[in-house]
Amino acid sequence: MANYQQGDRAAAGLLVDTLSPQFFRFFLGQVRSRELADDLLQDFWLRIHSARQTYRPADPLLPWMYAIARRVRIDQYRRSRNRSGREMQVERLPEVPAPDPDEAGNVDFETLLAALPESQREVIVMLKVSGLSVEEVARATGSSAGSVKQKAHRAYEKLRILLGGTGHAV
Amino acid sequence: MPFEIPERIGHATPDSTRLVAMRKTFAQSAAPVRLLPSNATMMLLCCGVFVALAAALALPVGFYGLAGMSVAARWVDYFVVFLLALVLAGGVVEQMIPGSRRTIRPLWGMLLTILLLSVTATVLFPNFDTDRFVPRGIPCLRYGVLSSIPAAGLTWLLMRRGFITDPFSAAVFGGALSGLLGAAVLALHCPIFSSPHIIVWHAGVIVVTSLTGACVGLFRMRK
Repeated sequence: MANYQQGDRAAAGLLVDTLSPQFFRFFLGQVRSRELADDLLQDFWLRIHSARQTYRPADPLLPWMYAIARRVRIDQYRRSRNRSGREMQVERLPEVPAPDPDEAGNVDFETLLAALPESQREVIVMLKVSGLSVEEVARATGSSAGSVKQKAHRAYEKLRILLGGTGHAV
Repeated sequence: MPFEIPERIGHATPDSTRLVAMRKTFAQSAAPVRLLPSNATMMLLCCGVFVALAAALALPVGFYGLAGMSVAARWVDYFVVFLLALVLAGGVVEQMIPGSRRTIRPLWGMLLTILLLSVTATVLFPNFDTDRFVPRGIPCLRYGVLSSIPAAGLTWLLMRRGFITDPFSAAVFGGALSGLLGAAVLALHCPIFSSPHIIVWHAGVIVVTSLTGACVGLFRMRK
């Protein structure tokens, strides 16, 4: 990142190659559409490029990047909400039933996540999909470690209730 | 048995064609950038501009407040204002850096500012005269709010150098800092040393500008 800030083109390419899959998974864990996740990833790199002067080499890199990724995701959510608020539904769409556990007993992770509020889902995706620590999630979301732990705890409680019938542990 | 992260997410990779295009664009436009100074440097710079601007804005209307206070009251009053400016400037600077540790929430920053100013006013000026309270207060509130406009402009310029991830918090901090500058101008100018006057009309400037900041932040978030 420090080399990229100094204008090193190879470092810029390396950064995109190395970190794109991780951030793609972060977006995919929240939007459920590959195309949209690709769009968000592109938007994310554009923002990283325009904000690169704000990164300090002594600070951890991932919370800085995740804070920007989170902003990209929030902006996309607001845009889509505004758009859907203006659009009129021409016909009633069939309701998709929630998938049951598969033969091996695994429960669909995305369906479970969809049941969580936005803020709890975001914390779970960062902790479980991206593998960040509580402190890193706190920095990325601009909140305290205690608040992150509380959101994660509430999310686990909710997931436990959802999984209660199937006997799964979270 | 714990639930598993599906293969679809756990090992998903972005579209390779788009990734190549992204890498190319990203590498092509890589140019050296000047990094932001440290938080402490930016906070001190903010406070330096704050002091200079407060003095410049009090100059046309006169330093009657400064002249009317005892030396001890001056030291205490202006030290408290400077300390609060440092705290709010710290909040503004933290908002500019994505992923930085947030030491103070905007609402707490605003409440701390109002509370500390009110306590200082009560201790330093134990005069509870409310004679012509509103007619004497409105001009103070008006000049305080007007004084905070250039400060808000400068804060906005500073914030543009960073990357705001939470427009609402950033705008509240910016509004509170600008309002504190308005209150500082009044502390230099206003010769009314009555606690209720200072608490309602001087600290009121911070409430007005913070609420304005909150509205601007909400508007930015909705865009």
